[in-house]
Amino acid sequence: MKRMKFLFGQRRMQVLLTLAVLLLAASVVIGSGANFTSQSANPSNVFTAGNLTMGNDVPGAIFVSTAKMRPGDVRSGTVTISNTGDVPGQFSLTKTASSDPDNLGARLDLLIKEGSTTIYTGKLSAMGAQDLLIWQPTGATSSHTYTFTVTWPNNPLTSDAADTALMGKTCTYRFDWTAIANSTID
Amino acid sequence: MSHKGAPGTKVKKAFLTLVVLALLAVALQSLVFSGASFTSSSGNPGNTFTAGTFGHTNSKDGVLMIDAAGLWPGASKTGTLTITGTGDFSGAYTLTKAGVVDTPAAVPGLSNALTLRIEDTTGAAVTLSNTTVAGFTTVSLGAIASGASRQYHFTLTYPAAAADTDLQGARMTLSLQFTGVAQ
Repeated sequence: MKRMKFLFGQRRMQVLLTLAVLLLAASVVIGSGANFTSQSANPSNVFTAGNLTMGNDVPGAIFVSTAKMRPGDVRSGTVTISNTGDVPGQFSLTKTASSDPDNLGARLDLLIKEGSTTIYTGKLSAMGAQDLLIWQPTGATSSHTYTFTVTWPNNPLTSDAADTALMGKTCTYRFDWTAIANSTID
Repeated sequence: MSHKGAPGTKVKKAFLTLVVLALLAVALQSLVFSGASFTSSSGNPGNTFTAGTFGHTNSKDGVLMIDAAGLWPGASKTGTLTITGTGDFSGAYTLTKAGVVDTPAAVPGLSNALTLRIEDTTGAAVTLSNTTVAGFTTVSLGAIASGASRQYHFTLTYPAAAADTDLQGARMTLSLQFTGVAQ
């Protein structure tokens, strides 16, 4: 009985293999049996890979002034980011603390605006990734100018001790712009 | 030991394994393809913010400025000190009465009789305040740049007109505090 099942298993495989070979042979026979034919073509369907590139008019730090800060001081700068490729892109902005050992960034306020639209307002150290939506490679949405403003809030009633403890401290932050090609069907 | 159906089971298992591997391969391929995209990036590094330092030195910090022991009606005692700005910023300075203790504490105490004149003597003397110690609270000293110094002269007087025999042997301790705010 056991042997029968084993053989049956083998036989089933043999049957399947035989059928596969027969199908292959049949297709060859059918193909070789063609007689009258008619055909048309749509040639030269060329597909070219697009380019997604980005322009950034500020090569380094956005903030021009490097003067030492104190409570009440404001630092600002602008940067223009452009979609210089030929496909739409999903743009985003992220921030990385290159160095902030004394949490100075937790004391500084950051405001990012595009015109009258606020992109981010909050503590410098707390900024998360910002989705800047889809930018077309041409037209009004291809280029965006952002104003960054860092303020050291001045509230002498509550912040003297905290501010004084930060004297002489330094923090450095990096802002990264990323674009990912956005799929569209023309 | 039983071998019931063992060869067939092996074939089935092998077949199932092939099917699973094929499905995994298809899934993996779709994952790989779905992750493909063009990307572009740029960065603005080196946005550095540095907090400056700010402070001042007091040539008589923490020490007795006027020794007015044995003061009598009609007499005065004086003292001088220098404030020097330090750090990265200039500062707006104020002088404040941090505390006064009359002994005995009877009212009116010695602080109501003594007058305190405060002058800026960096150049030509300019009187900033001239009132009784009890009446003095605070006075603005103006701006002092980092590295700059200003000299202040204090005159404590027991006016003859304020003579009071009840104040004989009385004692007064006055504490003053300089405060600068970076500007």
